[in-house]
Amino acid sequence: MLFNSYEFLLFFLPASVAGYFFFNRFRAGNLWLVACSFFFYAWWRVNFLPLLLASIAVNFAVGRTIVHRAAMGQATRALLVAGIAFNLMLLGYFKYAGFFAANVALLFGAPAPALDVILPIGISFFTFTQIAFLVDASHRKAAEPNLVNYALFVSYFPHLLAGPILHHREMMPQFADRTNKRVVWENVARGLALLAIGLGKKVLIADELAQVVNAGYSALHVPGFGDAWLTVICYTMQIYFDFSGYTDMALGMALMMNIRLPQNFDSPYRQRNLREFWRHWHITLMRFLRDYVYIPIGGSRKGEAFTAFALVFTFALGGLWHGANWTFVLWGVANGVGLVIVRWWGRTGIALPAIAAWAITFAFTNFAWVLFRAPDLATARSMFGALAGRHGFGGVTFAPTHYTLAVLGIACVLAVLPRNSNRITGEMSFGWHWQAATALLLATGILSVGNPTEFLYFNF
Amino acid sequence: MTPVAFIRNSLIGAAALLATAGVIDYEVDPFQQYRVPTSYTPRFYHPYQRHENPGLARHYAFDRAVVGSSFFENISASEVDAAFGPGKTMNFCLSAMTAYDARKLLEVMLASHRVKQVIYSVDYNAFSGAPNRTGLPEPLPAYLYDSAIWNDYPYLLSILTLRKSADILLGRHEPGYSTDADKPWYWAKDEEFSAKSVVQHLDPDNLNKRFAQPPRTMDGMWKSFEVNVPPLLEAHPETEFIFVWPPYSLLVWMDFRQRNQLDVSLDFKRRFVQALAKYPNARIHEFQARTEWITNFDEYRDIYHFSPKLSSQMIRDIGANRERETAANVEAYIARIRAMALAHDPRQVIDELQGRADLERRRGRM
Repeated sequence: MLFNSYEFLLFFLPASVAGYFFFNRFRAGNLWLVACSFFFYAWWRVNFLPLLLASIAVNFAVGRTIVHRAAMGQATRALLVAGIAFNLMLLGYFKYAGFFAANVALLFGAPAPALDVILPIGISFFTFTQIAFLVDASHRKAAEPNLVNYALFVSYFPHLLAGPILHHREMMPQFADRTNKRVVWENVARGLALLAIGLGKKVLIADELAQVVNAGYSALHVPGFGDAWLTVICYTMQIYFDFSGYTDMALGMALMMNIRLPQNFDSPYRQRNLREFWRHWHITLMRFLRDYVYIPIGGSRKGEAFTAFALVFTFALGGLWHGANWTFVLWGVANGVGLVIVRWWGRTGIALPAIAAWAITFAFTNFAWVLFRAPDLATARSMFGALAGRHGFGGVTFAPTHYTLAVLGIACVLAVLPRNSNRITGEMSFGWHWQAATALLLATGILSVGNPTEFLYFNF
Repeated sequence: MTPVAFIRNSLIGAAALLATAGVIDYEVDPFQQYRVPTSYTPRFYHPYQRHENPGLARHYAFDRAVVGSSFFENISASEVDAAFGPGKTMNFCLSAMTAYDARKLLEVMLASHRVKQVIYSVDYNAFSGAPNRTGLPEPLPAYLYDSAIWNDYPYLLSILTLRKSADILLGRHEPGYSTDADKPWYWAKDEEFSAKSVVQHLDPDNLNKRFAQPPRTMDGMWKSFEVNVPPLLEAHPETEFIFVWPPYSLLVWMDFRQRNQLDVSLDFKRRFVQALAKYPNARIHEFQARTEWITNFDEYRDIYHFSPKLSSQMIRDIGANRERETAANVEAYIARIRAMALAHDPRQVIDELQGRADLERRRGRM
């Protein structure tokens, strides 16, 4: 089920929230949310529900055993490795089998096998969430003896399909807190406003810009100079408003249930260097990569050269996590190299003027998104060529409407405003203008979900 | 203001706005789901055929229907009437129509009308994929294909519908629709039909590049056929189903050969004809072996789509009961198609057409 669908907004979400507080009276609120979350997942393809259930069951069993053995002072490493291997095998089969098979076939000059494996929605997110749990359990930082609570931690529908990627320790205390079991109207109000803003970001901005982006990356189209620049800037805005819109909705609906999910975005396009950008973009993924990849492989502890390697390796892996395609790997490598350059530049002590630093960072991000969005390397190459004028210096041929251009302009302004949606809803009064804005965003958002489009991060 | 008042007022405000939009959309009904409009000239929105056609099928008066993909969209109702005699025809084509799309539409149509004849374009690609595959990435708006109104909220609570309603109420004439009920989905007006347009962007080594049709298997196609065709014939013996193999250009057959799809396509044709032989309310017309048509590239826009001139001739031939295909003659048709597909080299054909196009361009400059 998509957040931006009639079924979700008009029926599922109100019923889930109301049911949660109702069943809390009988101490069954968590169980209700687990049932809702499984229903939410099964709505997409019911035959993938057993996969989610199996993943939860195995990880719960492994995690519990790890906790038990750690408490007894017994070795847990083999179990941890087995648990992580199980998760990576699932991810490997469903997400990467076709990619690796095609590349091996290419290497040996054989025809690529057609594996036709369907990617279960959200698998990257619930797999990473559970790997983090197993690692934390082996470090005695996490323990969950209750299957219902564990299932809720993994499958809680606001974060199930596209994050944020959660730590067990930041979620379960909230679900266990008795004071969170009753309705807190202020949280419901602020959550509703955040949900409305997120919905607006997705359907009024991201989906509008998607039309230009899809035309620009269409297989039939060789973009010219104007087309390419418009496409690239539109995608930069589309992906931000799509993903941060999803996150706002997730945070908003969780807040209605008195659950505070971690921030995932904090005005990333305002940042003046790539390191700061990555501290403000997809924050929980970066936290995961830092804690479970970068630091364990050595991080910055083994000298400057190794640090550079670790950064590039971590980001290449992060790229691959987004999708089984060399474009994602290259996107990761580009960002890793960019971070190394930023790190080395910092050593020179030369401070760029703020506007120049921002412009370089923003331009780099735009170019990197070409690799992220292009369906293949040839398309990416063609788009870079078009940006450089290799297909001629023509203007825009898509003929985007004035409305689309206005949306792009508004998006560019909103993306660099100092107050983002979290701060706005966290600080807002409940005056009439906020009521009118929330009502308008909800109504126009619901009116605009007629042809719901998936959030971009559902594919990762 | 308290949080409770904020929630209450926000939700009431949103509900009021949605209700207003819903009432406007119901009253104006731009996709004609509830009635044929009388206060304004009906508009036929080509990009939203899948939304509009079930409404047309319910509310318009007709007893003969044309159902097919973009190949048949240029057929006018009046030319069918002229060729077939008494009766009233309506064109219900859907771009990229699949067998599933056709069945869903015909179910709506046949439940609300006594239809004498259905002229049904048979396209191999329409039978590819799962039996319930629809031709566009977006799902079929199933809520418009049932008789319930309560589940029409995606239509009534839609900014798209609201924009169309506003255009109608304000008398705005945005591009992208037709008001001609005789040929509501006609697209040939601004298109060029010539060998030049056929070879434009055509890759001799990958003739399928532009249309990117997926590979088909006989099992898959046959499953789709069994789910989507015989049940209609059996449920509606009072309706004659006239199946038509449309005249693709010769390059399509070369594309099939290039992609190892020639045998599966011709095998499907054979099984299709044999399977329909037992239905007295089915007949088949074959235009894919008409050499003089399919090699005349000046009557094509691309490798698949033929001109209104060929459409009209085809309709006249069907009306006159010519080019009938039966279990007795299907092998002869198949042999002719196969021979043509194997006799030509795509690069040679494209080079010839390209040379002609260049010559015409040079003449045009002089």
